[in-house]
Amino acid sequence: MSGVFQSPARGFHLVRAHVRTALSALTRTPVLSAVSILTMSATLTLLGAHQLLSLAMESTLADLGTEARLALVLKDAVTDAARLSLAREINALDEVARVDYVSREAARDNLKKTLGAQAAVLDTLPENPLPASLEITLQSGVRGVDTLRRIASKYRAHPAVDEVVTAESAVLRLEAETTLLRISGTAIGILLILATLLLVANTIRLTVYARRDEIAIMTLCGATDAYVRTPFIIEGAIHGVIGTALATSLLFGAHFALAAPLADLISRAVGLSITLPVPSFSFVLSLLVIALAVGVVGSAISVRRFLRT
Amino acid sequence: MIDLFHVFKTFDGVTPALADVSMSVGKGELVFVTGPSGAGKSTLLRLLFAAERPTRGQVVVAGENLERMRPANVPYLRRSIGVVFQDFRLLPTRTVFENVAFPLEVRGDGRSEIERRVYRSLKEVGLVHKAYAMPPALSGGEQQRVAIARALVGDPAILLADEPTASLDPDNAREVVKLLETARIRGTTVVIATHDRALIAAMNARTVALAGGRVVSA
Ligand SMILES: Nc1ncnc2c1ncn2[C@@H]1O[C@H](COP(=O)(O)OP(=O)(O)O)[C@@H](O)[C@H]1O
Ligand SMILES: [Mg+2]
Repeated sequence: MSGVFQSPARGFHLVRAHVRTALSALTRTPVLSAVSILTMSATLTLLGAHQLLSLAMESTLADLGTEARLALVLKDAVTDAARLSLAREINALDEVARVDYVSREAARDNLKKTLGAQAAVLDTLPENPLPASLEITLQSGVRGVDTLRRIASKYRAHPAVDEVVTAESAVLRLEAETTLLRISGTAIGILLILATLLLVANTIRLTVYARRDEIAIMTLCGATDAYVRTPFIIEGAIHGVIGTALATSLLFGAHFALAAPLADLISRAVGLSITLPVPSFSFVLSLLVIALAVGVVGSAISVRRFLRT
Repeated sequence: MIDLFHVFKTFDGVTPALADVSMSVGKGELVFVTGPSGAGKSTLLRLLFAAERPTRGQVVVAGENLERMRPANVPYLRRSIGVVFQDFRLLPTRTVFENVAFPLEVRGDGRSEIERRVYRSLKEVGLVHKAYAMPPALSGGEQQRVAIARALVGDPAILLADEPTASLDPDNAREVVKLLETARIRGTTVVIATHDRALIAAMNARTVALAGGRVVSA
């Protein structure tokens, strides 16, 4: 037997032995394994639900964002031809989705509608005080204060334009809110992952503790740290896989049971139409990656304390 | 095979568990370390398999200076050292076979090699028929023989025994003595820590006596 042929065989024996040890731990300490798996799936479910809700809210905010508009208030003296050519020119801009002409009459009708019962006040005025305007709606996807400002400054000095009205502050607020939502979403996500890591590391520490005599004897018999650690890391990974499977089933179940009533509730409470997304394949995959990382890192942390004795 | 040069060990920084201990054990030699309880016998053995590091002085085992040994290399040192304790230290939930196989498993031996060596080792201690028993079902003497089989299964160059007969009756103790003697005859270097006068009298071997962590006679 030469060493060259011996080492792969040994490697294979080792891998098989480690997997066997890791699997036998599931049955040898069933309660601890169950606790670890349930902890993992509970926090993964929370994390997943939180991410799905954030996604839904972000896309709702994004939809609101496309309603970012600006209006060019036209001078009274503008001719129809000048107005049309201006409208055409703006419509040709890449960022612009639509240009609507609101005549003085239309503006008055809109205001009447808004005023409702008080609309009679308008009739007491000697003439219609409202100017005509061009309302510009930006392309969806093109959002942001920068675009608004650029278009506004371009047309402020136009001979047909009296003044430019933008919803700049509203858009700014919306952008700030989206950013805030994204930052707090990420922060909460990281906190949840850390919490999972901590909980899983603690439960795995119990399974390591239950086998501390075995670890002591293994190290006494010349086991390397890697040899002691590997089965626990495989065990952590197995917990991660099962935990992800459970969490994914829960999230799918929750989606089909709760998404519609929840969207209905939100729409009635705050008037926003919100679509809760179905967990996608890549979403499930990222949960799995997180779960594997948590299981592996959690195990590694837990075993460390029992080595070097 | 084993050399200690002016070794000091203290756990609290004040009272010495070992003080200025120098001794040497040749290859294939059997040496007793004796002394009253608290003399430092166990501490000395623990230094030899790198479970403790000396506070001062040099410990050289199988040509390795343990002070300079990286922690990552300690497992490889331990594969050339078998250790037996007073309390056996067997895993109660594993069969005798699995317990004895441990040192071979951790170094990655194959199935057939493990079987061959474990049965050979169990045969030497007369417990082949107990291969699939669980340790708690064995007598104390049998458990200690399993522990000796485990210590010797990988053919280590050194066998360390810390009070190996202290929890056994005289008959079982004699049985254990015979096995340690056999290991020495095969060329294994053996160090036995004990305060059992009968054990020392049973063997014609050099004795290093400790008291208060110092060598009082060698
Ligand atoms: N891990 C330890 N921590 C603190 N003190 C220890 C430790 N191990 C041994 N000692 C002390 O070192 C001295 C020698 O102990 P030990 O080597 O066990 O003696 P023996 O085996 O000869 O009975 C004793 O005073 C003991 O209390
Ligand atoms: Mg002792």
